Parts: sequence; C-alpha cells; structure tokens
Amino acid sequence: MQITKWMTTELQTIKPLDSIEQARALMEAARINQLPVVRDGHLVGIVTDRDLRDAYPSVLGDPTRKAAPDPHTVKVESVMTTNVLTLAPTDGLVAAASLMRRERVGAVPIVDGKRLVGILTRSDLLGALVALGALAESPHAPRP
Amino acid sequence: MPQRATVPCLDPTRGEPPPLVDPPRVSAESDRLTPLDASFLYLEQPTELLHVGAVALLESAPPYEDLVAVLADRLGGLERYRQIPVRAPLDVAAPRWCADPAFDPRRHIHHVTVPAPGDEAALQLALQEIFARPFPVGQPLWECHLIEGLADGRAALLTKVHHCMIDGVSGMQVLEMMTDGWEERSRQVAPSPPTPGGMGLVRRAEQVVDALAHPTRAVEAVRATAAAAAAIVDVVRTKAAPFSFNGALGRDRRIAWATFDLDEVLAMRGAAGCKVNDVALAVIAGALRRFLPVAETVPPRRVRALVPMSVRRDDEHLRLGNRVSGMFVSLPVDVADARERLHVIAAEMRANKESGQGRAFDLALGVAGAAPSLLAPMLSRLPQWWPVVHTVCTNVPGPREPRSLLGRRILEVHPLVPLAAGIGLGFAILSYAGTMSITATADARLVPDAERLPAALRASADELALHLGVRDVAAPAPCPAGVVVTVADVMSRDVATITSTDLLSSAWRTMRERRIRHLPVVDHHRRLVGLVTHRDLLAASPSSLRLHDERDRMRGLGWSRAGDIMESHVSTAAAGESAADVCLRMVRQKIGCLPVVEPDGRLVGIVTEEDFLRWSATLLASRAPR
Repeated sequence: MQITKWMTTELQTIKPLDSIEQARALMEAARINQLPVVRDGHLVGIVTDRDLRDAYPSVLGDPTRKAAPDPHTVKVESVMTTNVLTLAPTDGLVAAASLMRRERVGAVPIVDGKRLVGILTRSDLLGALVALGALAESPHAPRP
Repeated sequence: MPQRATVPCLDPTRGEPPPLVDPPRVSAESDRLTPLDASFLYLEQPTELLHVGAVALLESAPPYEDLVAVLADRLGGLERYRQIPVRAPLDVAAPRWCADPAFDPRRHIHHVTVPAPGDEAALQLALQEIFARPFPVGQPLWECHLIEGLADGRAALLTKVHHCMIDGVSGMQVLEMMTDGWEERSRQVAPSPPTPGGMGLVRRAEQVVDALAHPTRAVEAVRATAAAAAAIVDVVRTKAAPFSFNGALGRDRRIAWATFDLDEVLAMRGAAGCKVNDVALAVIAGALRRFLPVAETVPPRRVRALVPMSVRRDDEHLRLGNRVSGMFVSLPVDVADARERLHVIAAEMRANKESGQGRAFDLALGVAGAAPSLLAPMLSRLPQWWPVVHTVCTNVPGPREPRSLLGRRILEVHPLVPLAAGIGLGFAILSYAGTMSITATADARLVPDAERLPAALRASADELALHLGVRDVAAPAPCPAGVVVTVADVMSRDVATITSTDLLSSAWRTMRERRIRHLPVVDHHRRLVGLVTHRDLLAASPSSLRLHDERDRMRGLGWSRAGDIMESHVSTAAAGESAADVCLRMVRQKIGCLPVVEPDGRLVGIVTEEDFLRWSATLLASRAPR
C-alpha cells in the first residue's frame, strides 16, 4: 500500500516570487486547492486555497477598505507555509492518512531526497481507501 | 379578443377605472405595497403581463372538491391572498393592499381537461393559454388551475400569481404550503406573522448604528455602492444590439422545459469550482448557441442576461412580496468551447459580486419603485427593439425532498417567468427532489420555434458534462456480500449548526471553538437550508495582509450574516446510504462534507472527509500485520 500508486504526479507548481493572483488563477484552472512552491526544482513551501482566500480582500466588499493589497503585486512567498510536511515515495497509505489527520492538512508533497515527485491529496487518499475496501468493512466488527 | 380589453391591473391612468361591483374597503389592516412590489404593478402592459408561477406535475388527479378545500384552507389563510392592490390617484402614493369583501376561493381555483393524447405538448399549450390571460379585475391577483387528462392518468397544478404579490422564492414557499405534511413541517414553530418590512427595518437600523460608530465606513460604503451603481448605469447605457428574440412582444407565449439530474449538476459545479447557478447559466448559454442562427453567435455577440438574486432570509418565510436584487451577466454564445463558456460566466458572476453590483441594483430597484413617475417614462422612451438586457435567467431553489399533494406524488416542478421590456425569451431554473428544471418562456411571434429549446438545453448539458469529465467516473466497487457500512456508521451526530440570521463572526467563533470547518445552516425546524464553510468565511473576511489579528478580521465581518454567503444548493446524504458510495460522491463533487438529512430535510448528522479517513485508517491499521 505504497503511496506512489495513488499520488498525483502531474504537478502544478508555482515560484516564490510569482503573484498570489497567478497562484489563484492556476488553482482555479486546475481545480486544486494546494500548490507546491518550488525554487530551482526544490520544494520551498506550499500555498493553499485557504491562504489565498485569507489574503484576498473580502468578497462582500470592504467598506473600511484602506488600500487593501493588490493581489497582482503580493508575492506567493509572503503567504506560503515554509515549514512543509512531506512524505517519501516509500511511505504507506496508513502513515499518510494518520499524518494528514494529525496535522489537519489537505495534501502532502511527496519528495524523493530533495526532488518533488508528487502530491497526495485527501481526495487521492479517500479514492484509494474506497478502492481498497476500507469503507466496506467495520473496524469494530469481530474479525475471523 | 374581448376579455383582453380589460386592463389587468387597477390603473386609473390607463383607460376606464375597473368596474367594481363593491369597492374594496380600506380596512384598518390594509398596508402599502413596498416600492419594489409596486413597481411590478406600474410596469405592467397589456402585452407584458407580469405573472409568475409554477406548474407541478402530479402522478394522478386529486378530486376537485378536495383540492378546493385544501387550497381554500391554506391559501385563504394568507391575508395577501384575500387582498387587492389599489393604486392611488395619479400614483401620488404607493398602492394599498385592501381586503376583497367578496373573497371566495372558488373564484380562484379552476379546472380544465386537456385533449388526448395529453402529452407534454398538450400540457404546455394549456399552460400557455392560461398564462396569457390577464387576471379578472377587482379580485385578488392569484389563480390555481387543476389540469387533467394528461397521459398515464397524470395531472398538473398550475399556480399563477401576480409578481407584485410574490417573487420566485415566496412562490415556492406558497407551493410548499399547499403540499401534504405542511402542518407537521411547520408545527414546531408557527411562521412569524407578516410584518412588512420588519426585517428590513432591523437591518437598516443596524446599518445606521454601524455607520454612526464608524463614520468613515459609512462614507466608504456609500462610495462603493455609488461606484457599482455607476457600473449598472454604464450597462444600461450601452445599448445592446438586439437578438432575434428581442422586439415588441405580442400577447401569446410559448412554454418549454428540460429536466436534469441534480447530482450531475452538482458534480459539474465541483469539477469547475463554481456555483450551481453558473452551471445553469452555462447550460442556457450553450443551448442558445445551438438554438440561435449562426450569424447571431459570432464574436463578440453575447446575450446580456439579468440574473435576479433572492435576498430573502429564511425567517421571512411566508412574508410574501418581493425580496430580489439582480446582476447582469453576458452569456458567451460566441464561445465554442463548453468549459470555456462556464469559466467566462463564473468569472463574471464572481467579479459582479465582488464589485457589489447586486447591492447597487437593489438600490436602483428601490428608487424605481419609489418614483414610478421618473422610471416609467425612462423605460418607455427606450425603443422596445433596442433592449437594455436581452434575457432574464432566474434561479429558485425548491424543496430538496419529494412532496405530495392530497396523497399524490409531485413528480416535477417547472417555474414560469413573465416577459417584458422587449425580452422575448426568458429562463427560470428550479431544483426539486434531485432534479433541476430549466423552463423557457418565449414570445410566440419572436420565437416561433420555441419547441426546439428543450433539446438544445439537453444537448448543452450533455456537452458540458462530457467536457468537465463528470460522466466517466467509474461506479464504486460493490461492497462484499453481507457487509454494508452505512453513512450512519461513519457520520458525526453531534453537529454544530447556525441559522441564516446568525452573524458570520459568531459562525467563525463556533468553528474555532469546535475546530470544525463546515457549519450547516438550519431553519427553526432544524431543516437544512444551506452550508457555510471555513473557506467561505476566509473569503468574506478582510485581507489577512491588512489585518493580521484574527479577531480584527472577525470584527471586519461586521453585520454580515450566514444567509449572505451560505451555499443553498447543498449536496446531502441519507443515513442509510453506503459509506463507500457517499465517499466517492464527495470525491467526485470535490466537496469536503455532506450533511446527513432525514427524508423531511431535518439534519441528523454530518460526514466529512475526516470521518471517512478516521474510519478507514482504523480499519487498515487493524488489518496490518502486527
């Protein structure tokens, strides 16, 4: 039950000096909620849909609006998380599930040494668990 | 036709005063129409009757006498349904609601039989005839028609109400009231007595208090609204070259609909990351592209649509009247790619919301209603074939669960919109019991081939579903025999909830305290009416780059309430469903939680990704070799 079989390998990434508007457009186009931030092929951070929503001005309009920062000029590095949790391709699904639950994160980049090779999202994990029949049995039922 | 010589509303400036046998008494309880409600009286023309309604398809016909009894009991109990709007001389003041002294529900409940074979076309023909007829003068402006003789022993109930009495949402509430089990559904808390404008006053008072406390905020709010209002004026000023369905309207209408699987619509929403309304608009845009002559779909031709938005709160249940605001959106009929069309619409709707267009529009409607003497000449001076908007697309959420009337199941519900101001084709969208209906109302002369619309709508939805990849998701693997884990096994039963009038800041506090990210919005009967997510709150709060402290951002949510941002088209699960099926549905629709509801819509639990992860991780751990 290694995670390599289930992780997403067609990766969308962004650079630290790109704008958060570029990040938003990329997430929207690819329908994803997390973007690994990469410099020279190395993972330096992760930016999520929540980070962006938090950084953007209110969608309800902001009556107190005093020069809310323009998303075209705000850099990804100013809103990203730098202390990124990662897993190795050799880790298992159970480890991934417990990490995601414990740390309350939606996705974990998979790195081989320093190289980013994939990302495992909660959706990937749930798809894998259903396929493995993990929702067809009760862990509480007596096992033969 | 002689019956059309009668003027459909009581308008002293237009021809003869209505021949009332017994003039309505201005009773003590009479009250004035709100400016917006009144505007629907002022704007009416003989060829532009402002009727709204819905047709409910029943599995069989109830006896007429039983229907009269139940409708008289339920609708006759609503004061508005026993009143007539009476306009002031020269419209110097808003019209008044006056009691009809001769009120008799029988005069409002009719019975027709369509000729064989009673197919959909025959039903639509009957609806067209009834809808094109003005209301008889001197009585309350509503009718119900029981239509019998449909194929397979089916029947239909058409409700037709003047727009000055209700908007789409209150129209649905009235339909809801007529269905079985309404007493039980509403027993716990009786609907609050109608106090017109009550809620609005509270809101306004709050805004005033808020403005006094933050004078700069008030100035900024006015400036922001003014900017959005200017944008609307720009839209209205930029005359739009007409489409073939725009022009002077005749009296006859064509009605046609197509029905869709709501589950697939929700999957499309998930795949595109937009609103259900955006998906419906994209289906309409694609249908128009197929339907219109090729010459009308070349770039940069776009169909400018007015999209009314209900601003009703669930505590205003059965207050009737109109609580609508609106936005403009350009339907990209010039774009060939279905996914791109949806993308264009979703982006424009989002930009409109961010610019506060809806609020400014609300203001504009308020001004229009208050000063018909200003608005009417302005509208009438615009040549009808040179429209400000080309079409109207209105979306009304219906009941999530199946309903019945006198023990007969309601199979489908289709909404009906009025046409006016040179708009010869309009659409209404309604979701009901796992289906979504898009119903077109068309002017018979301007759109002579309206019967082609349902096929165009269906083809457009098919195209969009294929492009978004929601059609080829593999079915879940069947559970091993004898073991079915259900949603009830996995779900959390201790659900934190809010109501639509709760402040967003208190929603934020609840999420923080309970460490949760989804809050179902329920009504007084604990029925699900919407969902607010942590993501919605982040998007609604001021930028974290400006206000670093979370408490300041919470304060920045001001007087905004759950109802202002909640998603009302919520995917739900039943407690008895297979957990694996429901988990895959969540993955497919790209959503993080599913509220679990009873058949009557009451909330009993919630399942989140976290619940599924916990369950399966425990199981996998127990399987692992020790």
